[in-house]
Amino acid sequence: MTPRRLHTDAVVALVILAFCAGVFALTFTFDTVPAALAVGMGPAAFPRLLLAVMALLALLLAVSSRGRAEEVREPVPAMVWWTAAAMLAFMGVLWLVGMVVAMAIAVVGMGALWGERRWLILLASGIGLSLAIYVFFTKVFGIPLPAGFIAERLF
Amino acid sequence: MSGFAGGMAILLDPYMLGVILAGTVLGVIVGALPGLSGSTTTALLLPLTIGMGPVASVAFLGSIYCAANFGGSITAILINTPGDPSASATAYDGYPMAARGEAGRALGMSAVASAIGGIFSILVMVVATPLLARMAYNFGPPEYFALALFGLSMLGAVGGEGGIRNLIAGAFGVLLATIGLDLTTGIERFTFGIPQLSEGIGIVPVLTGLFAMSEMLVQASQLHIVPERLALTAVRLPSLADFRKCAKAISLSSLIGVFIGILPALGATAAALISYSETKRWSKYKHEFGKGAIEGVAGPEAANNAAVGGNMVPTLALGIPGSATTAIILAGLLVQGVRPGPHLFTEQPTLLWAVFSSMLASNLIYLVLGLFAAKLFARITLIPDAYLWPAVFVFAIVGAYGPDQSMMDVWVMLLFGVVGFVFRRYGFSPAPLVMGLVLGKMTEESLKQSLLMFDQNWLLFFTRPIVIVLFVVTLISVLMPLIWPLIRRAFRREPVLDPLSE
Repeated sequence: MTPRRLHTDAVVALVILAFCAGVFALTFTFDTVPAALAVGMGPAAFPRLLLAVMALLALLLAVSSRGRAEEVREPVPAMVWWTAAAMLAFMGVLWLVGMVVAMAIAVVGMGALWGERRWLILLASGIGLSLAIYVFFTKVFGIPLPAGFIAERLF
Repeated sequence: MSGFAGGMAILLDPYMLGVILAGTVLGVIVGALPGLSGSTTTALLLPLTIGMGPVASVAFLGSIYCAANFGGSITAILINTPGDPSASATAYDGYPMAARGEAGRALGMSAVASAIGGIFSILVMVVATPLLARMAYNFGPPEYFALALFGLSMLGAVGGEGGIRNLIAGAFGVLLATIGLDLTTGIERFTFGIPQLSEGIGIVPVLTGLFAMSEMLVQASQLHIVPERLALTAVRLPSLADFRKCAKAISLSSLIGVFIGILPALGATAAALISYSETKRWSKYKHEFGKGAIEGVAGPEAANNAAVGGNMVPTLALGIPGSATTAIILAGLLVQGVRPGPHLFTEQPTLLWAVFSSMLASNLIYLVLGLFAAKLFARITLIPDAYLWPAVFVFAIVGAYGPDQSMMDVWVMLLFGVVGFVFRRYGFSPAPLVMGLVLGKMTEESLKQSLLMFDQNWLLFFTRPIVIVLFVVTLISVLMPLIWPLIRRAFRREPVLDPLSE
């Protein structure tokens, strides 16, 4: 006899319960309230109350999943992982070459990752968009964008 | 009256008119683009409004909100993929109409019904918002606590396990709002020694991540799906016979839309889905529904736009958002240092009238655009995903970085992009999390203030009649997920979509 698989909602409920337990433990690391201010609800009371509500709701979710048909869930397509990896890689590129250049690289790189092969249009849109954002943010709003490690060392 | 005159005067200001026009055009465009909903766009563009000032900011975001609901119907009708979740019910009959060569008629009815619903809701908003605000003028912390609790409990009103999920997401949002300094004691909570977290987690990066980044990951999983696009020859005004046929559907749905919209947490998607089934129930031509009934387009479109004005009523009068998009608009106002609520009517009447007049103008603008430029907007759906989403990504990056010029906010945005994706994959909607995040501070502060007032005696909450009424309604909302399956079994009706997915 094969063991019965837990319903996905029951697994989700367990994850939420574990999360609640972890965060509940964190509430014990808060600094002690000075005696003069220790009136009424302490800083940990409200988060703990919320965690208790979340845990209770998670239990309800687990109970409500009993006897309910399991929804068929396709595995996460590889493109999602690649896109998430590209987002993470963007942060590395940004640190190295700064936001303006990193944005141009992101538009070209992610566009190519998503199947675009018209390189000239892709390049033009990447450069055009990042330049437009640069002008808008730095010249119109006066918000400086991060220059990146290389530029900081060079200039 | 001076507030009214001041609010209306913004329509004579070329800058403000430009802001409203830009918001409306942008709203129709993003509404038409599958994946980019009104809430995603308002979240994405919220940082841009910081330099605009409160009046222009709320006019811009409000215009996007109004127009995105109509824009969503363009793709619902032409490619059977609602550009905005609120247009999902429009696709049921809009697409079959387009398939038999009546795309223009469907889009024309959508524009007219949307504008009628939208304008009706603004008229209701003009009357109801000050009334509700006047009622709430003498509210103290206990009433605000009960109100915030009621707003959060409405997340559970969807019913079934969807309601439980929404309540969990809402509670998680409130928990996120506790990050930072505890206002009464000055003790740091969940900051992990990171100085930037002392003032709490930034609303803008969380919103951008939850809506824009998670949607980008969802789109990455759907790259293989190529929607079938139907040709649009021309948009023509619905005939007098069409109007006669749809008059009842538009009136009924406008009422439903406003009512649903006023209820906290229920937005345009819920209004459209409920009005579709009610339109069908009261129609003489039930057999046409699902096969291209023009009433099936008119009803949901009138309702989802009527919900917009309805949503703004609790948002402006009480500071309790009516939907995900109004939660974002509320966040935008908070960033500007404006706290919506009853006192706003005495302190900044011009701002409120400016909201009314800008939304009215937006409805009229998209009616004209819908009737005369729908063909052009339909072409927007041809923008390849490989250009659109990387552009959204870089906008989200600078949008998250811009307000505080903090790389920490960019990381927070990316983190919440992943959180949003996981949420959606396991049936949780990001909208309740946003509601919780926006209402979190108010909930905790009003609870603590109330307990101080009551000398820590919880029972004294029950000495205030409004609090008792709100607690009873809250209890009903919370119990709804438990009793809903029984009701559903009794009536044998299946929910079509999670109405909070807006």
